Amino acid sequence: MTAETFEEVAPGDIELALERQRSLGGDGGGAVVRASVANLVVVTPNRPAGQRALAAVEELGARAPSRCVVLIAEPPEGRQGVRSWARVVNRRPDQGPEVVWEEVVVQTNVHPSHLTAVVLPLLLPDLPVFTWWQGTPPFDQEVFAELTSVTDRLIVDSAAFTDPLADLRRLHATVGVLEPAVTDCAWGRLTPWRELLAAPFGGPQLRPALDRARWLRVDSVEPTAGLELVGWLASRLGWELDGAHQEGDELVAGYRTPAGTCQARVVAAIGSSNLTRVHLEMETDEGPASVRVEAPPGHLVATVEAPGQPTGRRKVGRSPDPSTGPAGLGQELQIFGRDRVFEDALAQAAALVPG
Amino acid sequence: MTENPLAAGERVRAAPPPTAMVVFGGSGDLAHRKIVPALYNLELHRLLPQNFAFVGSSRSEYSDEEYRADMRKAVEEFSRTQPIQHQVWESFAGRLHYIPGSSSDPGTYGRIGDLLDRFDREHGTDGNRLFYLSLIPKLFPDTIRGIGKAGLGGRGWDRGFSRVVVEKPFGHDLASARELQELVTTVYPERDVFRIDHYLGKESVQNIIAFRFANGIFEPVWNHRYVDHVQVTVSESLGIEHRGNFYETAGAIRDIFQNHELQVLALIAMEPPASFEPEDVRNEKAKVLKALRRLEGEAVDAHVVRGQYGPGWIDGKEVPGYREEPDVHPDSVVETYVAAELRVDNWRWAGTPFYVRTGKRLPKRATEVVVQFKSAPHLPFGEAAQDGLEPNALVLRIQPDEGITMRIGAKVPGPSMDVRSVNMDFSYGTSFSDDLPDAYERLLLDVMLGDPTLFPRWDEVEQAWQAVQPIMDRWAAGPAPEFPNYEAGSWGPKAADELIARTTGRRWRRP
Repeated sequence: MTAETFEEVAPGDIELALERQRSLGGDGGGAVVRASVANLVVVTPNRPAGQRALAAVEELGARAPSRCVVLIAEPPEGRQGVRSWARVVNRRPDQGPEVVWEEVVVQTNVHPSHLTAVVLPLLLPDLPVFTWWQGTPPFDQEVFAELTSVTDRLIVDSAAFTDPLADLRRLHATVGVLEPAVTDCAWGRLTPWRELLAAPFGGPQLRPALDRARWLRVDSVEPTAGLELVGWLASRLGWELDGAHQEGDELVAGYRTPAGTCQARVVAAIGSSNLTRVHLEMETDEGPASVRVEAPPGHLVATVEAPGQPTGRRKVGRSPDPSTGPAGLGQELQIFGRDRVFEDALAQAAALVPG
Repeated sequence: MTENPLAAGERVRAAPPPTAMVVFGGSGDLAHRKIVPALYNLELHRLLPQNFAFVGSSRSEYSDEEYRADMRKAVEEFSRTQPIQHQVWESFAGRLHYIPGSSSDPGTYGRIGDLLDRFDREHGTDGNRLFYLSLIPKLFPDTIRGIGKAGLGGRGWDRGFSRVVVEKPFGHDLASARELQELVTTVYPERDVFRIDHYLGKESVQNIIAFRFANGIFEPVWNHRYVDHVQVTVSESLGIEHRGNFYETAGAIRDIFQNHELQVLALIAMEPPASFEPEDVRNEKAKVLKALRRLEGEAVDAHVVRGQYGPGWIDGKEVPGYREEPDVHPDSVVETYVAAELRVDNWRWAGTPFYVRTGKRLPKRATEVVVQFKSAPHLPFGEAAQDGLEPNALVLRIQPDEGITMRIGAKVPGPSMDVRSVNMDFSYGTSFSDDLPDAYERLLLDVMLGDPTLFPRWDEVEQAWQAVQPIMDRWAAGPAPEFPNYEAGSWGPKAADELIARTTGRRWRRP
């Protein structure tokens, strides 16, 4: 058996099986050093989703080696209870030292109240537990309460929600009462956009204009990403929502700003990135100024126009940092505490959802 | 100005303020290999300020377009991220400019000043100036004077910041370092002077600080009561690589020992700083360098060993000796190896020797620190049973395989109570494998942000020269050494082994 193959083992024998595989793995055939930084529990609805999760972890593995436990909420074939597999993965990234992590797959249909009893023995001691819930978590159900009770940080991806807008509201309602910190990969993927939108206001020329925003348009491929971006600007800039309504496939919101009013529009778009364009217009004493960020293939372009200044255009990399991995998951594994800026943005975003 | 509310939060990294950067020596090796590739990668990762403009200046005649084409080739060859993103490069290259000129010609600085004023208007660089001296040291004085006379220096500059980055070596000896400092001080206050030592920008060197001050268990034993001695090794398998002209005037003591190695020693020996504020950290480092016992006269002969490599074999290839290298005098007495027994005369380290060595053409490239602990006070196992048991050692491996090795005693499995030393290895790479930013990226960003923590302050540099100067004086005054005295591919002269072995049981760790 190679160390890369999943070995089916009884839940009680998983640690023994992993230890045996570890001693077989590594370059020299001898013991290898295991250095884990976290536990990652992935909750998936079925086996194909479980496979996809493993592929994502594979891509991430060398950057944040974790004890990965994939829970598949499907009855094991022909029986009730728990079926489990385990493997040790050895990877040597370019020029780097060998990295080792462990993956455990558990397929189960035990009653939700017993799920923690299945998961707890599989976690490495001392290390934080990140739970990556694929799709929309069942916020009101016992299984959600059980699993989040052993979680330090809950990771969701609102782009994969079943009913993105309604589920975003439910996510916001949950964040307020849930013990562990919550984060959204869709929010993480906004980071390059936020950095580019923030950058022009680092200098004194445009900084005052930020208080005098009057018009904002976000072309959003992922519906929740657009809302979160508007929510972020609204929460950071102290805007108060006057009202929001839907006009065709546009969501239109009116805000009171410290210096007047601002209209925000989130327009449904089609593209290969989460957003395709953000355009913010502001007033200055000399006339209107604007910051525009667009996403042509492969990179981002930020364009700044202000009275009396030549147009500043800047192209930068679109890909997230190397450490972010698929869907921005890697970034989420590096943050432990609550992300207050996200929570504030989420509150404002949820307020925009009609109904 | 109030803070940028959009730059707050977990993920959005602090962007530096608008900056106009000038590199003197803009067509030189360092600009090609490090500075411009680092700037490109900062831009690629959205870490440069929105309002940024760059001027390269040197004697070569280039137009802006020629300079951009040349730098594009450099980035294609030396960028750590490959392939380069052409759209990003094109946009970035539009902000690269070039002004030919001699450092001794006042007109050069006038033209640069005019261009920077234009940048303020056209690129919104906001009066912020960053001058990078990527030059051979003998051009430093003219350049600093030129900046000062053109009114561009930090003193009296009220339109933003004006900072200067000075590449090592800062001075050629104590006197020239003081002279240079005196000149720099007339143009820049200390807070605007960034003496770059790229070693300190390496993640692995910063990890020394994290290791020492984020882990409480080592602090109680980090002193003369428990530590037998400390070793600092910076070994290189390379020779001088076409740098004969430079190396003939420097030698290992100026090239590595006076800066990199003493800085690493300071990080190992310093007291815990109250905060990670720049001055708190630099104060503690400066105290260590001040407490370094000065070796003078015969003490130099007794505690310092120098060496020069002869021909030998490295990595299965025959290599020439130092005296056979291009641009090296055939009777050169320049040292390519230094080992020294140093003492830090303070409460924590009284009586604990620090053995420090560096050399070229050693068997492998490695930087590491060994903290050798004292033996257990009493070993109850009987002599034969503990044969092969050595005292505990903690090895901080800085490069190439960054990590920690702990040497501990363990029982040999079997019926008898035999104990042996075993190594417990930990690689940082196995827990945080990632594309690490280049040291220059980190340090350039710090200069723009105005954070001098990782840049040696003048008193540190001065103290380091004070420690090294008497050694150089002794060597200059004495008879010529018998060089070469070690073979390329060996671990240095025999005398270095004898230096550490004077106390029974001590020997250099083989990295």
